[in-house]
Amino acid sequence: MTGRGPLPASARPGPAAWRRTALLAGLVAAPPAALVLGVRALRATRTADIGSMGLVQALPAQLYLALALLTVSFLAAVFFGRDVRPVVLAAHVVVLTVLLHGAATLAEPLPRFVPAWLHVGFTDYIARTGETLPEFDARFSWPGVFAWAAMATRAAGLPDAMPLLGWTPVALNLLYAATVYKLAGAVSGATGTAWLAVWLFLPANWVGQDYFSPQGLNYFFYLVILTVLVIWFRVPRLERARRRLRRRARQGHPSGSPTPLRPRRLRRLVGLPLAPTLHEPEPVAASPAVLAGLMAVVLVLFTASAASHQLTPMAILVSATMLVAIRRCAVQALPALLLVILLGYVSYLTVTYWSGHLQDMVGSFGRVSHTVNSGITERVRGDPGHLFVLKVRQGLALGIWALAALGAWRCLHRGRGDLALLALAGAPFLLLFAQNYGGEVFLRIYTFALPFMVVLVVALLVPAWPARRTVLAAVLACLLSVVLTGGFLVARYGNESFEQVRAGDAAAIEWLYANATPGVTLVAITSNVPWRVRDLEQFRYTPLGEDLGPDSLPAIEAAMLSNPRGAYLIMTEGQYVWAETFYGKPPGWGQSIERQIIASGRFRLVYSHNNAKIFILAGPRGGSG
Amino acid sequence: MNPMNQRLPREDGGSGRPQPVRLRLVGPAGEATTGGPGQRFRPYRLPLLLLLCGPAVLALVVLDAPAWARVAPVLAYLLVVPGLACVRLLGLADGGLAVMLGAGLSLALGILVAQAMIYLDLWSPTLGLSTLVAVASASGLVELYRGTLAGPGRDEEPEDAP
Repeated sequence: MTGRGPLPASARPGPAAWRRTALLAGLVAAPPAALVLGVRALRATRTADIGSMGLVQALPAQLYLALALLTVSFLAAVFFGRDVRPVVLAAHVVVLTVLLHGAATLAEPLPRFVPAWLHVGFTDYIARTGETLPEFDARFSWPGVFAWAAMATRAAGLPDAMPLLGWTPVALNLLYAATVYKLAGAVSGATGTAWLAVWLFLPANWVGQDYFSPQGLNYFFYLVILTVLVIWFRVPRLERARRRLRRRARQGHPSGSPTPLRPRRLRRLVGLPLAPTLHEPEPVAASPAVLAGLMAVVLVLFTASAASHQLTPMAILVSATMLVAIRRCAVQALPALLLVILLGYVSYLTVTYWSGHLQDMVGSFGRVSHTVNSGITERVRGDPGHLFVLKVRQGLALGIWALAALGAWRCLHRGRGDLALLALAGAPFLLLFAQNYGGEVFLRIYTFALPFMVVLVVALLVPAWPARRTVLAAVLACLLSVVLTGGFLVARYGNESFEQVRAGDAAAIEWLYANATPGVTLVAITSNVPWRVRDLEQFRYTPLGEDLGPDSLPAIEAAMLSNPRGAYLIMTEGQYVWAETFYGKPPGWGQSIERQIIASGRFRLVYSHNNAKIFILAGPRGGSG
Repeated sequence: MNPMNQRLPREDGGSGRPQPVRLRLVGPAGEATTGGPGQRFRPYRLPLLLLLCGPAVLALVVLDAPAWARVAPVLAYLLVVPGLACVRLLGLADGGLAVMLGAGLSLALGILVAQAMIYLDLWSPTLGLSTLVAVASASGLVELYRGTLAGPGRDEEPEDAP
């Protein structure tokens, strides 16, 4: 006996307190547990099982368990957690980012995606020479990101940018997530909305433009610029009313006369109140000096964007113009300023590109039906697995847009419509009038609209509907999260059968660079080869673009004979899979060409390892020249 | 409090109306910057850190330290510091927003510096890094100068404040 009596009932922790403590402990333990489980599952993935539907065919069940644990824990924290520190929620977001956007990096032996390897080659060239090669590739006319990477990797003592490849998507998505959090918080004013928007944004961002590329970094610039405009540069409500009165006075309406008729019938039909934007957010107050500084930041970011990517500055310009047009940006001269920067850069520093490609740049201006065709119809091809992946992508995009439209209606219905947010969600669709962007314009529109669409989707769930039914809202959020996460694994990694870089393909390229004489031509039957990763100016390449190369014996021979110094023909598994999955070539297409080449007797095999072969012409004009 | 219902702190106090600008730092030109209420502010710590880490990173590069020792500091510096040092001059109350803007500005400045070196035929990664260190150090010095001018603790709440 200690001599102390039992604690009074009021001092003992009750069942509710125990439950709260257990919930908190669970919330803290979930992210590390999910990380360990998920990473182990991804490390155990057998890449040989990746089929035409991509990585999802090879992922172990433990990964889904980890994602489910993380989702339940995060939503419990957001909807029911009390006193949950933001760092706990941030840990969930970081682990989700690693498991989703780092999945391929963890599962595959080499960094994925041939264009990313090519960007390593661009970076390597700038780092070695301090120059660009605008005649070689259009991207060298916008070399900003490659120049930065060249400077950073050399200063950091790295031999090339290859070590950055694998984790760039994770790093970029963390930057995007931080910006989306701030953006969603600014337009909604609630932490729950902000966290939920981030949680849905990460799996909804399946487009895969976040690899080591100019567009990946420029998307961050796009988000930061628009976030700054939305937070600080809105026109205050009072100022808008003053401007409206001045405008009406100029038009000859007396100040006391009623406002012009609005389409009330339409408004009533869709169930909107008299003032659907009554509670629109106001700008954060700041001194003129601070606003001037922020505008300087915007202009520097835009200049860097104009110097490093073709499309993103256009998207920024369109969105900023839209904000000014609907009187949600106080700096009315901003579109003109941005246009001057953009035209200045294009006019002086990309002459080498546009002097030969003016048609590519402005040819699709205003041709919406052509853009729609090249963006949808012409891209729907490939084997059945790939077609399924494309359908999932279309379904996810249309689903997000439909839910965002419902969320927008709910915001307007509650008098909390935000015209700035609606304009930013809609502005990217105007890009349809500008460029088809190699048939990728719909992917870009989806990406540029996504952060704003996601905030509108969250408006469906927060505040809970029906009122005070938090459990129902949490269940709906969970369902949405599960659908998006499952859809992400199919949509994002659906091309993994040919977007992964096989060890055999990379080893063959290494052999080629070690043995081929500079100046020879390297020939492949498709462009899905991890070449041009270094010394890119020292060889000629066929095909140079992102398409099929010569695929008949005479065509291959002609391509190899075109260079008097000699040529190498490289045949790899990655090329065959790409042609079959993406272009719908019959199964065994590549192997059949390989057999014809061997049977012809006009080629000599100089390398064969791990499903990769290298040939030279058997005559006196072989690869060594 | 349930985070679902928790309101985010706003720089203007959440009222939605423009608030009178709170003086925190006063620069040589007398410009005012926004500051959060009751913020305990040490005007010299972070600018001093930003000022010192530049030369430290530069030393790693100039002395050709092994890659394992300089990859993380150099990349982290290039990703955050030059922009953050500039953005801090604006005195934003929201630290998260300042870091986000700082990261964006750092990358943008890095791109512009690297590209300028190419067009001016001055390519040298060390020169590029030195330029960014100079920008960050100048910003840090300005902030330190402004903080010193304002006087230590001038922006703090008095100890006996209610």
